[in-house]
Amino acid sequence: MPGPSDPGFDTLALHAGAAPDPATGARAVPIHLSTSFVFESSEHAASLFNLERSGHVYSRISNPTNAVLEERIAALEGGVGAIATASGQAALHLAIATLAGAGSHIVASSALYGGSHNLLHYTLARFGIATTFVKPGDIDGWREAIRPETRLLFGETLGNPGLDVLDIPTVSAVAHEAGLPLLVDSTFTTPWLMKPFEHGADLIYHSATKFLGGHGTVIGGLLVDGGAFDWGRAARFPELNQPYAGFHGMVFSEESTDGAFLLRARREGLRDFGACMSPHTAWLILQGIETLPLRMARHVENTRKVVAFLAAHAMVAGVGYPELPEHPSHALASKLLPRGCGAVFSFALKGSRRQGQAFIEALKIFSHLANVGDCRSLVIHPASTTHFRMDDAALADAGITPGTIRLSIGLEDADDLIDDLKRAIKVAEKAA
Amino acid sequence: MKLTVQGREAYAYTGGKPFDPALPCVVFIHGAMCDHSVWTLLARWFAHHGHGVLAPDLPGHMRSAGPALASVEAMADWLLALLDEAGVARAALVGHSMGSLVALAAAARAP
Repeated sequence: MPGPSDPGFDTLALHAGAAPDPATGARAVPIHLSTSFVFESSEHAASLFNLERSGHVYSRISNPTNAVLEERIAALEGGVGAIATASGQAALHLAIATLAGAGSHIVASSALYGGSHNLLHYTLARFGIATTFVKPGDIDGWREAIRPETRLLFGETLGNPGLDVLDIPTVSAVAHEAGLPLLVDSTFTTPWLMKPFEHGADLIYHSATKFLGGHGTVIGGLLVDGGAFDWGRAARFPELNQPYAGFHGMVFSEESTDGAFLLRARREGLRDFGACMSPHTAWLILQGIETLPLRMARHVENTRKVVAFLAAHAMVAGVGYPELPEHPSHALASKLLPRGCGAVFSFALKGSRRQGQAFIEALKIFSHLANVGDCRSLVIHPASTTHFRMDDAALADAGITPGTIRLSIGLEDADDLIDDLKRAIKVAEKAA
Repeated sequence: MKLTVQGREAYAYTGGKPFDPALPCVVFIHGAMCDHSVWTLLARWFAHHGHGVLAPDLPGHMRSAGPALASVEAMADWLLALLDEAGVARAALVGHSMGSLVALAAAARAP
């Protein structure tokens, strides 16, 4: 039972990492919009730079407001620490750049957010990091794709946009057999729906822009370390268990038994690539996280109502929500996502491409834009937007057809959302 | 650094600098179920301010081979054997939780 010595999720969502400000008594987390922090003396400065004291130096590396957010997400995920980044993409890049370099290889799920697919398939290839994509449910495929130069297995808890549930217990076992970590994108589920570390994942990242921030206001990312992967003994990770010339020969796995990955990611990746989060952004994401349990419950409740409406509608060819028995991930979802499968899903409207466009343009409450996880309901056509750089075969691998429409269900009255959809479907019917 | 203590492999963190037994020595002893990394900041400060630092992993903890020792006295004997192995004749002992009991027992055995 949660209690003062072992706080529950809702308590952590409000309090983890924060205390009344000792200088002013401010109860809410102060926004420390300061690039730098004054040294008490030359000796104090030197000891901060050499990691002999804890403290903040420069807000690209660390910041007191960001630190609260980092501690809070680590507490909610059950991890040992976290790093706030400029975006979810920056968090993914930071994770990869910390573990991989030219000549390295990644095995990734084929059901990924289009931006992640771009990074792996096009951009990282340019920097000498190759990726093999496998269908998330093809366990032998994951195993067979691993090479001597593989550094990471990577998938999404709920694949975008078909919602394939990643079998984290099995895929993480495959990774660990090979001495590799599993990184998961947990954006669609948030720790309220699933805690991937409990199922065997080693690293988690979020686009905090989505449900964590929750209000469609700021772009941000969070990279969390579960702390259980033994980097010190893993032969494939000299970056973490051999001296690093870029920090006085520091051996990260000796400096911190469970925080070696985060130490290197902060001391190298955040320092040198510089994709840090603004403290103002951190504060807005903290505001969002404080109501995450309440919002996620409502997101899921509304989504179930909308899914039931669409699944029963004659103009709908199919609804891709894992709680429906016909979804290929239904059994896995029942096991890994008992609280619900989130609030983003796709459905296929019958009729032509033009009817699909008429449907989207007729919606009034749903906003047509490229985002998910807002408190307001959203709609998009993945094949012509988020996933438009993928060819037909890659689209099919990601579970997308030209008629797929993706919804992100917000916190409005479910009846209003259903009325909006009903009316827009009627417009689409007339557009035939 | 790696040492052999009582016939088994042992590890001691040295604060980010190679251990020099000629310098005044500070030994940091962690508590039960912890390891050397609880001392990282202090160990680094002393190592970069004129001291030789040893922050061992106790037997059965992290990088030091097991089995874990069953009494504070046995850990004190092990710690003194580690200091012999490292060539340390005098040291200041700093302990946390169970490690503070080990420090007291070691000091009583080798005043």
